[in-house]
Amino acid sequence: MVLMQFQIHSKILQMETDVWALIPGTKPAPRRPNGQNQERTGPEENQEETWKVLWLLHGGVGDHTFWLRHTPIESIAESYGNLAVILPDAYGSSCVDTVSGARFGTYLSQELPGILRRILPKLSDKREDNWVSGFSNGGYGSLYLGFTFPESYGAVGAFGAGDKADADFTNIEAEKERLFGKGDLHSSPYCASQLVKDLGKSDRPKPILCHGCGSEDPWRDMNEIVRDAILSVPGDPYHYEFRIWEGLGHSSACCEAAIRYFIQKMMEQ
Amino acid sequence: MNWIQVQTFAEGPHTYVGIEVFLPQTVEAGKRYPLLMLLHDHGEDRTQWMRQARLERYAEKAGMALALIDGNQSCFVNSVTGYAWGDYLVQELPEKLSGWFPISREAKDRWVMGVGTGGYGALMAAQNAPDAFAGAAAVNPVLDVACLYGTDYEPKPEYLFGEKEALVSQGYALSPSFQIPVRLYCDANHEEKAKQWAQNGAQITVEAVDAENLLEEAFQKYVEGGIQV
Repeated sequence: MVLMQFQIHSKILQMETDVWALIPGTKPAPRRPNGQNQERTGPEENQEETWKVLWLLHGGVGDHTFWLRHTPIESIAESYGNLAVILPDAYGSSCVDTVSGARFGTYLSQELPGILRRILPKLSDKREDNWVSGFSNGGYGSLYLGFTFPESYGAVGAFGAGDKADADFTNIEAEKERLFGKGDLHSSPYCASQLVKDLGKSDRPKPILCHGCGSEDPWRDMNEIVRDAILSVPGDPYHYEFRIWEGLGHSSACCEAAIRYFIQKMMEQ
Repeated sequence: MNWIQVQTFAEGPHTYVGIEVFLPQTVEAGKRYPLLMLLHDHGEDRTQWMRQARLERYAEKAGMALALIDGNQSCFVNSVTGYAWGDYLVQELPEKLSGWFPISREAKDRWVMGVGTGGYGALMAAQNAPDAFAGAAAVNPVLDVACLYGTDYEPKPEYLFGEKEALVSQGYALSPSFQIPVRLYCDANHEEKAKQWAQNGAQITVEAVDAENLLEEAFQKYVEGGIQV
C-alpha cells in the first residue's frame, strides 16, 4: 500500500493536525532479470475505482501513528485491495465534541472526510462504505461518532470499549471536566449506551455494530454494561455482534485480533 | 497549502520512494490541478526544494500542485544497469499522482524543473518525452555528464551511463534543440557556459538568477513567468 502523511488545517479545531493514510497501491513484485520493467498493474491506473474507507481511531494515550506501530494493519488491509485506512490524530479528546469547545467529533465525522475526499477523490462518500473503528478510548470514540453522526458511517467496530458515562475518573477529575463537564454523564450527550438507545427510536440511519474485548481485559465488565444496553434495543437494528477474544487483555494483541476480524467481516459482506 | 508526504513502491527503479506533494489549501471538488515536478541535485534528496525555497507562497497563488521527488543518485534517467528512473519520472509518477490526487492527466498541465544533476534529468525528460510535458526548466544544470567522469563523483558515472565514449550512442547526451519550451536559470558561475551551449538551440532561453537565492528566485520566475496555468 501507499503511506501518506497529511498536514491538514482544521477550521473546526483551529489548528494544523496530522493524518496518516494507507491507500491501495502497487505491490512490489520480484525483480525481473536484466532490469526489465515489470508490467504496470497498480490500482493507480484504474480511474473509475473507489475505495472503502476505515476511519481508525487510537486510544487515550495514543496518536495517529498507533495502529501502524503496534499492529500489522497494512498487511491486513492490503489483502483486500480496495480499502483505505485513515489514521487521524484525536489527541486526548476521546473523539468527542468537548464541553470546552474542542470539537473533535465534528472534525472527525464531518470536516476531515470532506477535506480528504477532495484530496483523494477515490475515497467513497457512500455511508455504507465508511466504517469507524477503534480500541480503548478509540473504541468509545467509534461508538460516540457512529451513534452521534450515523449519517456518516455504515458500520462501527468498537473494541476494548466501555462507556465514558460508566468510567471512574478518580484523580483525573480535571480532564473529565474539560472533556465531558461535571456530574453524572448518563444523561449527557457522551453516554454511549444512551446514544445507542436513542438512535434505535429515531428514523436516522443505523450503522452495523461489532463490539467486543479480550477475555482478560480489566475493563471487560464495562464492555458488558454497554453490551446489555445495546441488547435492550428492540428489533436489533444494528445487526449487533458481541465477541470475546479468549486469552487477550487490553493490549496490542487484542487490537490486532479485533481489527482483523472487523475488516474481514465488513469486506466479506 | 496541503502538504502530503507519500511513501510508495515505484516499479521503474524497483524501490520504495518518498514524494512530497503540495496541493492548494482549498481543493475545489471536481477540479484537476496543474502539476510541477521538482528534481533535486546530487547529494540531496526530495526535500531540497522545500528547504531551500519558500515554494508555497508562489505555488498557492498560482493554484498548482507540486511534487518533490526522490531520484536517489540516478540523475532521473534510466541507467545502463536497469533502474528505470527516467520512466518513473515521465510516465509512472505522473500517472500515480493523477490516480491518487485531483491532478490533471494532461501533458499541457505538466512541467518538470530540476537543479544540478536534477536539471540534467529535467532536460533529458524534455528531450526524450516532449509529449509528456508542457515545458521544462533547469537551474545551474549539468549539461554534459561527461564532466562527471574521472572525478570523485560517486557512484561512478560508468554505472549510470556506461562508458564515457558511448554517451551519445547510449542516449545520455543533451542537445540544446527542444520541441517544448525550456528555460535555464543560471547564476554568474554558470550563465556564460549555458548561453554558449544554448545559442544555436531551439525553444531554449537562459535567465540569470542570484546565487544567494538560487532556488527560490528560479522557482518564482518559472511559476510566475514560465508556466502558463
